[in-house]
Amino acid sequence: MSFILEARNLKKSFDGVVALSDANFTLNQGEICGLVGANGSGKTTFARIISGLMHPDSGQLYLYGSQISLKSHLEAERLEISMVHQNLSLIPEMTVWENINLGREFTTPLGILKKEAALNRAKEALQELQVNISFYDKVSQLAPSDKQLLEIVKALSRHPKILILDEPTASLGFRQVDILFEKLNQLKNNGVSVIFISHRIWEITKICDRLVAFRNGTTVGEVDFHQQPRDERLIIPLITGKKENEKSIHEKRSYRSFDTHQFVLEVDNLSKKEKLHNVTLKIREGEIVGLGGLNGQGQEEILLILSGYLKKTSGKIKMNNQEVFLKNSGQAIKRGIFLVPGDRQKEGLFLNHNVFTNLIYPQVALKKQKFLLPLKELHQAVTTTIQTISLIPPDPRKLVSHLSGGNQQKVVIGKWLSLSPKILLLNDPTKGVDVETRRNLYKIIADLSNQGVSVLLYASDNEELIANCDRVLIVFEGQIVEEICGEGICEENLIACSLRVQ
Amino acid sequence: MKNRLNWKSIYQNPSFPSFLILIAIIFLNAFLQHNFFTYRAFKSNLLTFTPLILTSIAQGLVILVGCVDLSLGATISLITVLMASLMGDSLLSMVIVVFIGSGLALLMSFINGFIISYFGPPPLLTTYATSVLWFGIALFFMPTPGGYIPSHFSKMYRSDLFPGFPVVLLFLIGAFCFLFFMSKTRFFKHIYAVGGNEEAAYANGVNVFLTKIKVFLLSGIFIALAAICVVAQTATGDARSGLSFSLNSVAASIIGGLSFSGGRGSIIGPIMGGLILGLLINVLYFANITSFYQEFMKGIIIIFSLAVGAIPKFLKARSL
Amino acid sequence: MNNNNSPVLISDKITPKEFLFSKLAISFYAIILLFVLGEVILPGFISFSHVMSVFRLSVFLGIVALGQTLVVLSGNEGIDLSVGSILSIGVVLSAFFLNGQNINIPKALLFTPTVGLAFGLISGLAISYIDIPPIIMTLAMASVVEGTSLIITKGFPTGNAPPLLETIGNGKIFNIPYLILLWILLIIIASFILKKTKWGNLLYGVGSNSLTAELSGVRVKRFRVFVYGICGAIAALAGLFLLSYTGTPYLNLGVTYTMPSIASLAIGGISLAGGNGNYIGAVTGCIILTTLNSILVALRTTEAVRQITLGLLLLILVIAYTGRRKRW
Repeated sequence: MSFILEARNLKKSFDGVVALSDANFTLNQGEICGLVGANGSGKTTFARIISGLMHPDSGQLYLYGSQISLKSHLEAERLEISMVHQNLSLIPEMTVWENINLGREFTTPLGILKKEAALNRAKEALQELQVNISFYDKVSQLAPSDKQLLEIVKALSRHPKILILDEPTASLGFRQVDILFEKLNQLKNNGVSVIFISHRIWEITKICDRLVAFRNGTTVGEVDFHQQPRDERLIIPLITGKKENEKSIHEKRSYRSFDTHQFVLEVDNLSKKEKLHNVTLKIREGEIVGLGGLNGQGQEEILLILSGYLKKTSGKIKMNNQEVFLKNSGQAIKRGIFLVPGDRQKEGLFLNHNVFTNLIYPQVALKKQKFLLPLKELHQAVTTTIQTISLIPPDPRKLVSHLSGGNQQKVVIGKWLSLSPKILLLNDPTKGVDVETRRNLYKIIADLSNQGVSVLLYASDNEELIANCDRVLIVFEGQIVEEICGEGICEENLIACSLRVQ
Repeated sequence: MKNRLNWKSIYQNPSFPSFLILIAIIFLNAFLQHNFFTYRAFKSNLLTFTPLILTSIAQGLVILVGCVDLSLGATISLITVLMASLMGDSLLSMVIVVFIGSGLALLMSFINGFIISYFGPPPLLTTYATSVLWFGIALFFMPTPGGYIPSHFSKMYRSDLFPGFPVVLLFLIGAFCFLFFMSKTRFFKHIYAVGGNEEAAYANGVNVFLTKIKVFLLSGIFIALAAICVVAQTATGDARSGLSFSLNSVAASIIGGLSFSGGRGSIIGPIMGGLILGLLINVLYFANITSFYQEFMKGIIIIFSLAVGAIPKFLKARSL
Repeated sequence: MNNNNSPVLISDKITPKEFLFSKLAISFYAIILLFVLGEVILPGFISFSHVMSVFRLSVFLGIVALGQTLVVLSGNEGIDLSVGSILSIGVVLSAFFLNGQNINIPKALLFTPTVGLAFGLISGLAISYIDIPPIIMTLAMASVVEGTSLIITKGFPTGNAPPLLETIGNGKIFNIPYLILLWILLIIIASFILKKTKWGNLLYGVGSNSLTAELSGVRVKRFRVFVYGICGAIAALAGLFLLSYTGTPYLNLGVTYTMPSIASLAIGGISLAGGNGNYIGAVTGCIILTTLNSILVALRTTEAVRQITLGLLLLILVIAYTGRRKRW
């Protein structure tokens, strides 16, 4: 049985973190094979290796029967492997048709562009997925879902033999997903092979012929839907490593009642042009409230407005019954509202500075901070913080860029700990973070909650919401559409509400 | 969905505001200089503006690809020195020297482009370093302005091809045609791609290294043209003659709507920017501003134009 | 490896080996090398008084470079190309305020930097709030300042430095010129502020990652305006010191200071991207530049040769300090 693509014993580490320890994968011609696994299981690393963006430390790769070593993604393209990532290859200031043709323009012998041919190619490409945009639009003006579709049609228009899709449906609407799936089936019938990487088990069971599961950088199992039923219950244990009836890897907390606790935050009819519509929510002291729903429904905007960074268009925010105006981050911080941002490297850290400098920064930025820094106290505070967050290595002099992703995230949270938070806003804090660190971080959050700190948590991984929240608010297209409490917080309910399925 | 070009794409183009400013400035000039629309005034303006426009194009190309070239002026100075040192009276000599000068311009631009593309240092510092170097070399060969340019070379430059059509206009039109041709090539699209997002361009298979070098070479062509105009007009070689070109060409590009980060704005922008700057300086002259105020006004004008150019961005940010 | 880039110096040891190879150390080696070279070429170069006079010449560039360092540290491709013109107007204004009288010294010390501050603030406002790129804004501002200088003097600067100031500018104590002592004081104060105070630490953050700084509670735009203002004030103050050295004012004294102030940062290994580096680096850069220049002058080279040498040196440094070669 010859596979069109085979990977054996791939290993890959960076910065001391092992991403792949023994990855095996096979792909048959004309099939759609899913790749599943929790965050940090190595799926994206694997995809990057097969598409030529990275080199494995060891292991073998076989393509069309013979062993190969991909020098670059351009070589992979030449071998008719096409990968779709999130916004890696679009030029924002150029138009749709220019982007589609970039790198493979039709030209006359002199090098003049054949615009007509280019426009046609663009038209055909967009039609593949019935994308409804004008090809004169600039990419920077497109909605995230359209950008995603554009990346996909670009890959499709290269007529690859092997197509790799990494979380392709993250920003797509239902209709768009259906059209994509129709297309994938068409491709399958034409002999194209697809690797479909996704968190969304229901999509995997719908579209894939087979799937491979990764956990902690190793292949842990395969399910072939030709021989086995399309049942999520077969898949989830492979991902989590637990038996079927164990609900999740995190300890389930007993549900707490907060009825006797004060409201610390009340949001009334918060709106932001095009993003949020009349969002109303209340949080009590010590509660951990989750924001659920599909990605990009407005959860981030809620957090950013509450942290003072984004402006609201209308609505009221009240703390302890008094209206507050959060005009900038400093004002939110003054009131004890701290934000742990979503992109730690771009928004949460000073990469070229050491742990010490990063940890003391918000404290230094406080208005009441004196001109002369109290270095001794700061050193002590940092030592304490490093212990609390279990930083590895516990060295305040270490450059933050040399820390692993998980430890970087610890620093991002750690810098707020010594400032007496009242409300902690978390924007997907464990994205791309390993399991052990995730446990650490959530323990810190649980401790904070027990001390009376309220938490508003947005997590793209439902499991985290299930394991940590007292309540979950489902956001859909900028509105809060559902509130799930206590026992009701489980995967089925969360997914059903996110998808607006009854 | 409409798939036809619409007006939106024109007035949303970053270089559009400069077009409006240009119209306004032309009116202002016409108002202040009553013989503005005469042929004599037209030609004299053209003679003065052409080098600025050409260098603005050269700078604009470099800025579009995401770099900046502060050595433009020094390059022009060095070429004028070279040409004024070598040129003789015969036609052959003139032609050869023009070729040598152009070749030198290309070489100097290539050096900049290669160093920036291969080693990756910040373009600002690199081109500043080369500007000092070129300036030194120019000074070395001609410590004080001088040299020899045959008078018929200058005269030819200043004359008319046929009544009503100055030679310099031919230069400009030739340059514009060439630019227009270039703008239709795949290479030109790559300039915008590399300037817009180098990584994404690379991911699409664009050869970033080659694209940058080609841009510097293309820029060198316009620098060469500008140098020929300068040397023909001044009929001397002067190591300091190019000083203001570097800064003015950058200003012209920004006024023309180009973004420093690259990949944004039309190549017509720097042309309009150059015209605006030139006409503004005219305004100063005709409004009888004394020489004391000229430097001051020049700065104010540039700042003002930049501020006006930034208004659309400003408004958009406000509405978010 | 930890290097001197982070603001707060954690009072732990950097291994001797690390220090020997740090950028700072390399700069020191270069200075020593240059002086040795100077001695070889011109015996007597390394005499105490000569070394002192070379250092004294560096003082003015050094003060201007301090302002430039702050602006570059603040990030956003910060740069100030108007420092030379502000220095010029500083010379002229100080002369005017002082008018040869010691009594006027406090007045000059107050007003001259204030004018520089004003120009800097305007640049900063345009850069932060109207999004005009620093290069072009400060370049245009340079014209404005130069023009202002012309306008107020009508081509003929008046006034001169009073005796006390001239003594400071030209006098020595224990054979060390006062100006150098002043510079050392400034270096100490500047380094202290950068590393041990709130403002200095915030500056490093703003330059390193302005988004993170903003989310941590710093009003980045406002902060940057202030940085440009300070740079202007410092440049104007440098003009006052330059006047104390020359005695009488001339126009356009500052024109030769702008680009070298940037070059000295490059030589001193300070990244133009911001968020990294310290003033000592710029100081060594200034000394290297000035020493090199004085060797060349003593060799009676022409300006041409000096420019070529400087240009080549800068080019080599810029390439060398870029480090990694881009993968494409």
